[in-house]
Amino acid sequence: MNKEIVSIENISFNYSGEKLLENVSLKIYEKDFVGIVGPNGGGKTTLLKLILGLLKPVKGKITVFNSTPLKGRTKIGYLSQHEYIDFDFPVTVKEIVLMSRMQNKLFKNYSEQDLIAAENALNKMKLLEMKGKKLNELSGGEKQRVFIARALASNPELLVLDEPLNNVDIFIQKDLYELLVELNKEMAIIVVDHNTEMLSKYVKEIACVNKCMINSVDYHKIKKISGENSVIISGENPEIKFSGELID
Amino acid sequence: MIEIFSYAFFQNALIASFLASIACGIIGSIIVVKRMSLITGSISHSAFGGLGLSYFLGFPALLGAVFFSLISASFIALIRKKALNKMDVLLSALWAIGMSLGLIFIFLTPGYSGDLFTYLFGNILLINSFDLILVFILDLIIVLVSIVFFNSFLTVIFDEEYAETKNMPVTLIYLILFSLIALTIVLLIKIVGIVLLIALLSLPAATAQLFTKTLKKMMIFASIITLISALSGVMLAFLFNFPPGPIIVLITAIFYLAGIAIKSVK
Repeated sequence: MNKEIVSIENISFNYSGEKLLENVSLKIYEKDFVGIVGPNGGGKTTLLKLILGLLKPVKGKITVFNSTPLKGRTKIGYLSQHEYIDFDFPVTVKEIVLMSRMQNKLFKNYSEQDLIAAENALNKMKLLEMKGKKLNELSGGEKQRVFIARALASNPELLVLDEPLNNVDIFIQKDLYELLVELNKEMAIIVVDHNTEMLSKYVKEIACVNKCMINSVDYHKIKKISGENSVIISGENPEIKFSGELID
Repeated sequence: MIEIFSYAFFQNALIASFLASIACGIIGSIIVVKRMSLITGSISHSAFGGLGLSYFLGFPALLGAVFFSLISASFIALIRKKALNKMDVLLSALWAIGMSLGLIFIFLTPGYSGDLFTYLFGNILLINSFDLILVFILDLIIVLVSIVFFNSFLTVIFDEEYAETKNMPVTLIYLILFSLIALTIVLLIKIVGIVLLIALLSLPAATAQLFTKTLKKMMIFASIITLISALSGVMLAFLFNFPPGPIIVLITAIFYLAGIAIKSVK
């Protein structure tokens, strides 16, 4: 049995007085590759930010690597939706990847080891030739690979990816997922994606978040179902049937 | 023409231009890439309150400016995350309160208040040896701290949320950064004054950004543009008996417009 790395127990989260998540539970184990799906505004991103300690639940308990999210999160490599990122920022790909080596530091100079870790991560993401470029000189897929490389350079044990296919050319979306499958041999991955069809081809489990519940469903056996509105996901036929309210 | 270089005040002006350019290039680049003009404006105008207080108490004016600008910079750094939606109003308030305090203190001080104009618009040709030492010390602090914290500043201003997930002390890093902005402002008060210094902190850096790929190169290029603007401004001001601050600012503006023109032709 694989070790448990993230445990979410009965958490609730409110935003501007409105319930965004209620009594949500989910467990993530080593080597898991979990896809999180659900409608817009259903709380997918919120759930990731709770795991990362960027938001605090009003109720319930989150454990990350046997610790609080604030302590455990340093073992997580995070790819956000880049809502705060200026792609015209004067910074090169290599400098961005090196940023993950600033972990726990007030200030530091990059060591030989840091530079090697960055090169390795760039190499894994096939970005070595791009390392001197600025973000706005790259394609959408390359940009996402830069941020995945940054996540990898800190040698994470869990990758948390929020909509990694955003602005990625449809023809190379498959390539990106194949890279993730490769990475999954070494680390657990949680990925949020609204493209359910693509997601279900590659991930091992799918969990659905829709405001009031999350249900994690294994491809072959139901891993856990909680909440009154259950979700059934069939592994062979990745078609999701929701009971209860769902805005597409 | 050559003999002006032998005047002490002129030499002081040249040294001050050189020192100020370095601080301006480094801190101005950060202000431009992080779009912090309003924060900079608020800190500089709150410094005027400190100037007024020093004036009233009979201290060296820049001492009060250092004190007030550091306090307002720390205040902004500490409330920044909590007051995200109200930042705009708070910064404008800080701006106006600083100016008001300064004016009241100056009004309360008996005697001639001719210096007031110098603090608002600066005059690099009036810099004395005491000012020069202060400018040198401030410059040294700004440059050394920026070198040590370069990677921290870059990481935090590029992607603050990520820095937080990596457990970097984001608020402390902002506190240090805003304090450097405050010190740069004090350094510039004598040179271009409170009202005009925002131009020196934004236009050369914005020009440099058009042609550079990394923050480091942007800082160096911005410093060079500031130096050229300051030196030519000082010369023109001396030759034509103009106030130097506005001339320097206009030259930086010409550089910026030229930069945009070159960039759009390419």
